[in-house]
Amino acid sequence: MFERRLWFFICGLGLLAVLIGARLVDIQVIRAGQYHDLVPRITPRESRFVRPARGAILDRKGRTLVSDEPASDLTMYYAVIEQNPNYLRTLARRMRRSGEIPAEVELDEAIEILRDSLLQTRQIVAEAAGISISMLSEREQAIVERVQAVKTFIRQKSPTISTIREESRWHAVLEDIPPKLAAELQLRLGNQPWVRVQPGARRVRREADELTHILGRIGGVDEKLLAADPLAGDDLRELRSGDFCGTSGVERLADPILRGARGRVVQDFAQGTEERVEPEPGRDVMLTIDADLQKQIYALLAEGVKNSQHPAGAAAVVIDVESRDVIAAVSYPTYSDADFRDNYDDLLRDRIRNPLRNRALQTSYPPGSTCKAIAAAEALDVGAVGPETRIHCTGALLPNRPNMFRCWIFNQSRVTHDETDTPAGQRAEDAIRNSCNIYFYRVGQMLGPERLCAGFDRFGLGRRAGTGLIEESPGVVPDDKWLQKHMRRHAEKADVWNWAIGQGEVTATPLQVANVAATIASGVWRPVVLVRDADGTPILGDNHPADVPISARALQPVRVGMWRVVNEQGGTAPGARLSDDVERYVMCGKTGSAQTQPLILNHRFVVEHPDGRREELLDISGEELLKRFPDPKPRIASRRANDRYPPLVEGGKLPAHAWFMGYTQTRDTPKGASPRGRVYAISVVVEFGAAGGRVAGPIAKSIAEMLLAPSGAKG
Amino acid sequence: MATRGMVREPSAMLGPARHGLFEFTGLGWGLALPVFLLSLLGLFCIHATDRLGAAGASGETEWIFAEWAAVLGPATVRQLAFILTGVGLMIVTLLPSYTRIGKHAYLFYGLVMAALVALIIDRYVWDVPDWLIPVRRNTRRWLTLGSYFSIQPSEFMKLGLILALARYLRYRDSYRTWAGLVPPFLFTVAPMLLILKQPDLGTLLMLLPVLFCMLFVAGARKRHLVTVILAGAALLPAFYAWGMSDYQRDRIRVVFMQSSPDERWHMDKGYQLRQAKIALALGGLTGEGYGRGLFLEANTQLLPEENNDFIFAIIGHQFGLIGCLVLISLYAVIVICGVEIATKTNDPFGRLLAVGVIVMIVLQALLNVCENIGMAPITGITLPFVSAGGSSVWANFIALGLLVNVAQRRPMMMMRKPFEHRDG
Repeated sequence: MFERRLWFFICGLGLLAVLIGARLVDIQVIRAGQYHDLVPRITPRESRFVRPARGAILDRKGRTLVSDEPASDLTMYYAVIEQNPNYLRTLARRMRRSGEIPAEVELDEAIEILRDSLLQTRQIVAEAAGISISMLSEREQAIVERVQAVKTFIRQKSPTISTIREESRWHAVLEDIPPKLAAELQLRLGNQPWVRVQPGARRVRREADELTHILGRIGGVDEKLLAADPLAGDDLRELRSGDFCGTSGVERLADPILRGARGRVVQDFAQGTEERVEPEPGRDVMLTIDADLQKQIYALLAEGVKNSQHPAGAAAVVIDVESRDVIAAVSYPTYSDADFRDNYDDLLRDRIRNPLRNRALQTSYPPGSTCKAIAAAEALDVGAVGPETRIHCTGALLPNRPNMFRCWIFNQSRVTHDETDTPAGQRAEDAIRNSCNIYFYRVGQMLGPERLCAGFDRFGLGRRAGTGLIEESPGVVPDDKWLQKHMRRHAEKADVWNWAIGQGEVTATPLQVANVAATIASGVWRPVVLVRDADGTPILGDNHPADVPISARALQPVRVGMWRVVNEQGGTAPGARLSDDVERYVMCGKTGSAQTQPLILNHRFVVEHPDGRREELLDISGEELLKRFPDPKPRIASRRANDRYPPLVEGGKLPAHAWFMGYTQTRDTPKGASPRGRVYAISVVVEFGAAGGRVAGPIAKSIAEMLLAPSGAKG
Repeated sequence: MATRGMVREPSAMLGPARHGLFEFTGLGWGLALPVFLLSLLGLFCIHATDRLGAAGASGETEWIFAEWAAVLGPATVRQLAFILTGVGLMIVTLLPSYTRIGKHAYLFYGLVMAALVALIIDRYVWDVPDWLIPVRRNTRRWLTLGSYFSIQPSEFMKLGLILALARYLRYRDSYRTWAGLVPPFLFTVAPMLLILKQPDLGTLLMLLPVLFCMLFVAGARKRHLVTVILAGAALLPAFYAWGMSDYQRDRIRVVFMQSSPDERWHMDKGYQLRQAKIALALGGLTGEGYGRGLFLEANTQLLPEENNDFIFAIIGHQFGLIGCLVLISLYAVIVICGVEIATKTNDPFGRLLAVGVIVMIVLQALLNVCENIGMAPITGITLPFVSAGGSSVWANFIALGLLVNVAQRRPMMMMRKPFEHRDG
């Protein structure tokens, strides 16, 4: 029996051996090809990327606004930063063997020599960088802590890992060293193999604070940016985690062009070859913006805001109507790079000035009376009113509710437009000239919410104007879908009255409003262009919208009305009339004073602590408030708006944003015809500036004069 | 019995049995040749993977072989030292008769158990100084004296278990009854529990098959054996669910995820196995040649534990399918010689000892190969006589010593086999 069982045993082993043999044949012969294909993936080759220089951003006249400047990092080997005793010992032994330290020196002594020269290295580095040795040690300590934190995290997940990648890497001890200092350090530290000066680049912005918002920033890539990368799949051009790329503004929009292609050095250890692909620097892009003009407009806005009763912010946009180039998009106030770096929190918490916001295209305001031009055009287009249809200004819309839905002139001086100007009632062009609310309440009524919203849509409200910047806000056209989604209601009777005069839910950005002016001037709504590549081809964002033509029949009275607003005695914007310096040109425009709610500066919160204690606190937002407390966080029991800007005055009027939109045309352009000459569309908004005609109009006038002045007169 | 002649064939060809202390019998030589070849192959492969040389050695200590290490590579020198001392231990094992060794079987088993308990004490009772019981890769497997000496008791547990089982099972009635089966089970399960807590899954999983094979060969009742298998099969899922830590479960998952398209898995948990298979596949039929091929010429280590658990893949890489099959047939020679020794011995203790040793060696070899080709979870079993390592080399050589010891002390043949004539 023993032998029979042994025989069984051997047979069992034999069977197993046959199975193993079959599996080996499978791996080594039959499916060997499959595994061969995996070889490139298992990094037998060391592949290193070389960062390309990022392209520059120029203004429309070719001046460099942002570019990469050469700058280097000083890096140290991690084990040296950490002063790992085992590594130092190995290093000392190796140096003794190679003769850098005399062979007769004892190992312990060699380690001391090594430590001395490391100390010397640190002294040189600290001295060159102009920092103290202790500051340098602090930086090194921070690197060690960061790496150890990563290591702890990784080892919690896989306890068998003993060293992590970061431990065999070089870490930057000094960043952005200018070339001269880099050369000096290279010279002085060149013989010390644990320090390397690694060439790189630094993004430098040149006196372009007025363009900060538009230019945007660079930051590390995150999952979202990786997922949205249009060049994903091209391993030299795609984003990789750890890269820097544009995270906002034009840096982001034009990132695929600016970033260039990385170089690659592949060392194949199997074949002992090195293969180099040189990096391809990113291409430059050109803003359609004129940096000088931008700067001058910024100064104008600063002046306008300073004179305002409630200074906050302002924005202005200038569009070249012919090409739809945005030649200025100014947001006041702005911030400097230094502020962003050092006082980010202050910038974030400044609710009134809100400098981080790009008001020109990120903030949407109620458009106020500028909207009346759209309502009129739409009503004329669909035939709700004819160009000669007259509507009486009655002071208040509803005879039985004299306190509501009144005309502005009735509010101001208890008269009606019928009494002051047009006893027979107003035509469309009169209503625009007078900015008569009653006319537009009635026009809104005739159009109804659907057709009115369709009109807003045709003039580009509620959708992005096409710069492609992620900051661009679409604003709001309160059509039924929007109302359902955001207000859970349908349009009510009074809504359409409000919307027709640009109040209520409808909002628009200054960029959109400027494009409305451009649309009125040219007869076609067209997306704007902000960035062009070196060949002049526009760089457009995703979902670039198509042109929307508007009939000349509808626009003719609107154009006449807008001419009269500025150029006729008694128009609402006499301040926007161009001075005689620019004799060939006139401005056509529409004012707006958009009533708005004051800003809420902070809230009064009642928080309930986990132990049941209640406390009343002030903060700008719930999020910010909770940051103050450690875990477990208290619960916010209630919140109430506290400080407002401008402050509420008992019985006072709501504050209003001052608007002006307009376009330029030659003096000899026939009335109501499409403008001739150099046509610029301009929009200006001054937050809490009150009257559009008085505050925003003159700013627009100055802008137009800068644009149109004979080249000798203005820089 | 029809099979008898086939089993006896090798010995018939190798000549009649002789005995004497250092006079190796034909079977002794039959064992020596494959073991010598395996050790040599192991040494050469370890040398080939020792690419970092002296510079890359963790080398915290200045050891006496530093000069040699600089030339041959530290791992090679270390392995050479272990093999030489291993052969020494084998010769020491040969000196007394195995029956005398057998009398101390329980003592040996007890000593190894004590060592295993000591490792557990460090984890659960009080902290033993690190120079005595170091924690490496979050496991406590070694007993050390500073950096001068270290052994892995679990490797010797395999030997201890074989000795104790052979000692216990040598009387027929002790394993043909239910009650008689309890002690062998306890012998096996007790160290398994201790090793589980080190943890060292590979060694642990070796012990149960050793028990099973020894019971089977010793002639335990079939229903008992079936019960053992069923019990083992029933225990496995429970063990998987509660007895294992996450990374051990991952090791098992690796086997089933081999053809998964998830590249992240293959770069993380499935990394070792895929690298091993790529190494084998690159070897192809005839191999890349000694010291050649991507896995040996790249200046980074592409295969973790390449001179230890995964040395088989490195062998396949260099010598191809043919090399792998030759390696397997070397183990086959060991098995055949071992089986021959077992059949030629009348002493039940000797038989069981021989069978135990053979089972231990061949199971380690096959499991290691299976791990390399994705037929078994990667548990860290070494390839006997080939893989780098101290305790495992020693334990295997001592086991070999026991086997040869049994071979040398077979009872006198009463008559010469027919048709066998000695000339000259």
